[in-house]
Amino acid sequence: MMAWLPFAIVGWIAAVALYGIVASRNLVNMVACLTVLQSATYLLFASIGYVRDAAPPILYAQPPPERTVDPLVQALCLTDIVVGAGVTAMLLAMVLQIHRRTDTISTRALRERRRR
Amino acid sequence: MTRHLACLGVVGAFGTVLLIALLRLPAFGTALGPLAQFYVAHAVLDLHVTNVISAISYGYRGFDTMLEEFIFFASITSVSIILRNTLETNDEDEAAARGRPVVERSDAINLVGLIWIGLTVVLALSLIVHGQLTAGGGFQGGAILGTALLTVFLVTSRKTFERISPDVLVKVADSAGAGSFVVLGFIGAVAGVGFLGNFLPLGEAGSLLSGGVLWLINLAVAIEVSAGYALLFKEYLREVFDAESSDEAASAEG
Amino acid sequence: MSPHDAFVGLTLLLAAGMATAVVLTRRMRVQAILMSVFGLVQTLVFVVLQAPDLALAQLAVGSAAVPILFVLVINRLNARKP
Repeated sequence: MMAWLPFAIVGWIAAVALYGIVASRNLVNMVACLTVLQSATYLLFASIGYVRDAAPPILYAQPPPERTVDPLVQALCLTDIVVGAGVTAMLLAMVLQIHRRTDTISTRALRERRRR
Repeated sequence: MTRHLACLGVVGAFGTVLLIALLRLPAFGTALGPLAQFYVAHAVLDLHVTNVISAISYGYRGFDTMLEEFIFFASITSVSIILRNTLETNDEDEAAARGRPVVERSDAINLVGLIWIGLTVVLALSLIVHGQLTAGGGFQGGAILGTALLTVFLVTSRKTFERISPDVLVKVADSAGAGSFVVLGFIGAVAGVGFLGNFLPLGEAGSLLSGGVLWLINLAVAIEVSAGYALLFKEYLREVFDAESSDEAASAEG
Repeated sequence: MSPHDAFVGLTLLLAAGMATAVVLTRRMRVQAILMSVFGLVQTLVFVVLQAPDLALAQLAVGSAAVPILFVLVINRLNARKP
């Protein structure tokens, strides 16, 4: 069961976050669910890189560990985590600007406003 | 109700496709791929760096990291542009005059908080400097340093936060960190070892000054990330606390 | 299944539960706090999956920086409402 459980959990988190984005009531909720979707991808990276009975990819100890987990996937994910917070901040700034202009952040009100 | 059913339908379709794709991955916990094995085997020999993730991020794949840093830089700049304000006030006396509550911090929070911030800053600097040896590096240490600066605001007051992160210093540090990455790359190109190639002595693996130009790239990334987060928090605090002055000005004009 | 595998499974299930809680919350301030806890749970998952660099990054970003930004935005939006 352990062979597929982490990937099934990542799929569940991604599906739940997508449901949150599609059915969100206001824009701040939408950005929060987008953050959860990003977290699903980080968990996917960490799960792909895992190797059983292996050490972190730090070769500082003497003698160095024989088996390490995948460093390439972790390097991809590391910049993603830090930069993703910057992008989330930019999205929140856009939400503030929308509120400045239209005085609402409800998705229903914005949708009707666009229809008019 | 029908909208909720439509949402569930879309998510169900997406979730099924995603699950089928995810279950075709190699089983959880199997061995490394060939490229990862190469990196683990050659990181210490080629770059004299014991943290393989730092070797990949700043050494083998330094170009990708440079572009990611520019994504960060662009997002911070766009926050500054979007949250432009016409009026700026920094004064708690004015806030009290307008009738907004000025929060009195207790001495206990001040003491414990400042000790905590001191420890956090030392930890962040240690993570930055030892990035090529053990777990840590520019990105992690920079993020922790930026968050420690925000904690100063939470523990003391906005005036103190603005005093320890003056506008000019933060903006210059942000741009300097992003720019020095490119400058280090060009120095490598001029020295004949290719863009972002190593032109400094590599040092001994396991000592502090190992890795050559990788260590300098590490520092540049740390400066850029921490200054970027500090600038981000400054912009948001300015938006939150100086909002009423700009609202009053807008209603006075219009 | 070794004990470490069971631990991995448990922390991942905890992460799935926290993610569902974050998405299905109705109130914005509660959602920000739950996002902070979700960041801590992610840090735990990264530690268990032998990824200390990811854990350090996620600890600062996901449990401190991003939720504080959310709380600041929520305060600003509530202050502007008449």
